[in-house]
Amino acid sequence: MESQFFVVRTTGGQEENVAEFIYKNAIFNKKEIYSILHVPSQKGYLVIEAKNGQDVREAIAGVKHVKELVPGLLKLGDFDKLLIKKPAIAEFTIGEVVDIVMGPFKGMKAKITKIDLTKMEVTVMLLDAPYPLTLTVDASYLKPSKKG
Amino acid sequence: MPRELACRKCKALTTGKVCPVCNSTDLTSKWSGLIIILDPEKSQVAKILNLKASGRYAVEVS
Ligand SMILES: [Zn+2]
Repeated sequence: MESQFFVVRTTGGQEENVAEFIYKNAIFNKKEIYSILHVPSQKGYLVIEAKNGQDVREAIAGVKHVKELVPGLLKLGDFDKLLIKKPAIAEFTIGEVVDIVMGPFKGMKAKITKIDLTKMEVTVMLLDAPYPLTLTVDASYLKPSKKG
Repeated sequence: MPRELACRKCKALTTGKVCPVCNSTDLTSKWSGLIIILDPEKSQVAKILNLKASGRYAVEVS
């Protein structure tokens, strides 16, 4: 069976201490806890990946600064983006219109014609130029163009 | 307890000078968030982050 994701509310600022205690509790008492997460932007909360709620309740029992086990479950898709910070280049797709935000062509719009993930470079065709002009730049030179 | 260092390559935390997971010496004190993997076989989080060893990891490393 797949693991489930539970949310535990803690005293703000104590998330990591609480996580360490739950970690030790789970190992010492052989609870089926698979991972414990604290994402910096989620103050006062921990995510606990476990086999079931019973094991979580037992692992957090008596741990200082635990406020409650929040009812309900999270899905991995609810928070996976907080764990995986994709490099800027992975956000772009071929054919996408972008704004150039650095360098001599700053302020122009361009269309992506090629993405080189190994060099972290993007080749674009300038849209505002009077003739077709392509250039290859670092992904940091580009921002997705605001629509509308 | 002294603040641990995070490995820039695999994000593992350590108090030593070498990453215990990947043996890198590229360590930094600038990290945040905490991921504790207890069971890398059963953890979906370990799978999506490609963490093969149990232990403690940072979420963000700079
Ligand atoms: Zn490492």
